[in-house]
Amino acid sequence: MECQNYGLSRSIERENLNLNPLQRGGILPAAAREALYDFGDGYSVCDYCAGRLDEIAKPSINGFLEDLAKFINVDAVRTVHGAREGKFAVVHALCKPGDTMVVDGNAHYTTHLAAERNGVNMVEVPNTGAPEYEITPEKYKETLENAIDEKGEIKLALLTHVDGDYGNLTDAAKIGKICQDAGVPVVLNCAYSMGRLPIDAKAMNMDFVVGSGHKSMAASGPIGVLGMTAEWEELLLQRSSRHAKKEIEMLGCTSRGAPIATLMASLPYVMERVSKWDEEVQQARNFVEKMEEIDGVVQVGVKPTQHDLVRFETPAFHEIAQKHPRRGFFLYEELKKRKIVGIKRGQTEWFKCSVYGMTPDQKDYVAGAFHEIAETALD
Amino acid sequence: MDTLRIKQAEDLIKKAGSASKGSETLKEPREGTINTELFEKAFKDLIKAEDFIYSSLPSHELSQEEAQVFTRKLLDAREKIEGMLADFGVMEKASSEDKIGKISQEFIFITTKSNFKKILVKMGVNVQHIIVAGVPLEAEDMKQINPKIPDAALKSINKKIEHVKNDISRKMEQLNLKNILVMAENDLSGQLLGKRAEDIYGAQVILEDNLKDLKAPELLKILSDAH
Repeated sequence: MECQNYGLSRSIERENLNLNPLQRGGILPAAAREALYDFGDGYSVCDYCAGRLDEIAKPSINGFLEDLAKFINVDAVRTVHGAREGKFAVVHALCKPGDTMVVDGNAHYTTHLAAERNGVNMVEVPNTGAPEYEITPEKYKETLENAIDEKGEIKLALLTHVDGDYGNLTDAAKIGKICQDAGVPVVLNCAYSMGRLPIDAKAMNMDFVVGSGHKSMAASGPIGVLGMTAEWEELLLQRSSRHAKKEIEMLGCTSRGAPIATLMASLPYVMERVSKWDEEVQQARNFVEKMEEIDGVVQVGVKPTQHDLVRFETPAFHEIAQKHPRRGFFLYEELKKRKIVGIKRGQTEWFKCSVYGMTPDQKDYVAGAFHEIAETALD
Repeated sequence: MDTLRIKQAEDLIKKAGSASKGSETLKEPREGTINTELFEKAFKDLIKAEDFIYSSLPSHELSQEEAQVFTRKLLDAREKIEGMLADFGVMEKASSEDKIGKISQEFIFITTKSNFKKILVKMGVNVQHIIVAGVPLEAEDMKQINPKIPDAALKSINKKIEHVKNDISRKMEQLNLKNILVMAENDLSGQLLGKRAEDIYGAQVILEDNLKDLKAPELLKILSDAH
């Protein structure tokens, strides 16, 4: 059998500025690309393994996990295959089929799938609706209390720290405290925050935090982070009765090879960039300001934005699309001409984007390109 | 398939050889052993250079300062690749130090400190071609370096300057060379020395922020550019 040509080449990041928020936080620094060369093979980190991935000393996965735990302030941490697997493990360990958990209305779809796969019912905290779509502590409290009254017991609460639709940053510390006071363990989904902005799980009153290496921690996917307080270690990291060294919820070992090696190599870089988060937010606000100078471009979600992921409603571009010979494709094509990608083909009514990690000049270039397109696309 | 690949490789090597400059010609490879350490280091040098691809998006234009760092990484990689090619007899085993040794014969180097002389010698510059000017080339420049210098001390500085200038003239005559290259750190002493040497001898001036960090391939590039 001859294999097909899979078209396995990609120069998008080398040739273009990519605005897709999904891509911005996962770009590898040089140290991680070097680690990729050294640890690209399947079991490359397992040469000196004595049965526990988290205890491998060469390369120092044990040392890395210690640093990571300090970085996000948890008592124990494991790498998992992604934030979704982290959420699944928590739901699986804490809930039984038929139990109920509370989730916020801006939760990622994988939160829903984690609950579904575990046969757990969800009660959703609604957001405030247009134009801010905010998850407020007051609404969270009200929903949680109502759910407790109605169901008797809520096994778990989940909060999305920064959602992937609007880039809204929730008040994790306040909501964490609400859950704590109600006696409901709570998990914070930090897929869009851990690795971008500072996370202090204990200060946020969280029992668990999950993060995404490929989304926000400059690592090759798939890899995620699951951190927890000491109280939950025994349950979450329970060992197999048959294979004494293996942790059941982790299915023994999680991500090996390139994902964990790049996550490890990137940690110093990630710690450095997290310390500059305030500057990044300010630059995101400047970018929004420049975009909103275009008539018919408005940021939706909480304003001013508290995150690099921003969503715009763009009737200005949608109007152009009605008259443009390339119709809805014009925006994608005009951006592509300027070596900017990441806005979906055909999308003109609204889009999400991020300029996270770009240089100030690159950010200006992107905003300038949108201005130019708005002004000249119909010439 | 393998025969085709070998033929393609041979053609490429011939083509590269015919396009090479000067005395550098490429030969047919002979049997040899891959130096995996060099291969890894060359690869990682290129990975470090790759960062500029992302930071310079979308135009990929680099400022002179950025270009300096970028090309340093490429030169680092080149040195290692050339080492591997030499292991297979494709190239002569000429290290950067050997090349510096050759090209530096055409210059008289003036520097500000004995430490810098040692660095230059280590990288292949013939010691006979280096003069350490521990003083500027004009006494009045000393006042800029040390405004509190007493006049009495300036007299002895004057003598030293005379020695240095004699040394320069003697070497120019002995070695039959006119090309003077000032290589020093980019501090006041280096700047003053460079300016005077430029005025007096028409010298070329290279001032580096950290001369001790200079690597042989970078010095080779500097000398090739100055040549």
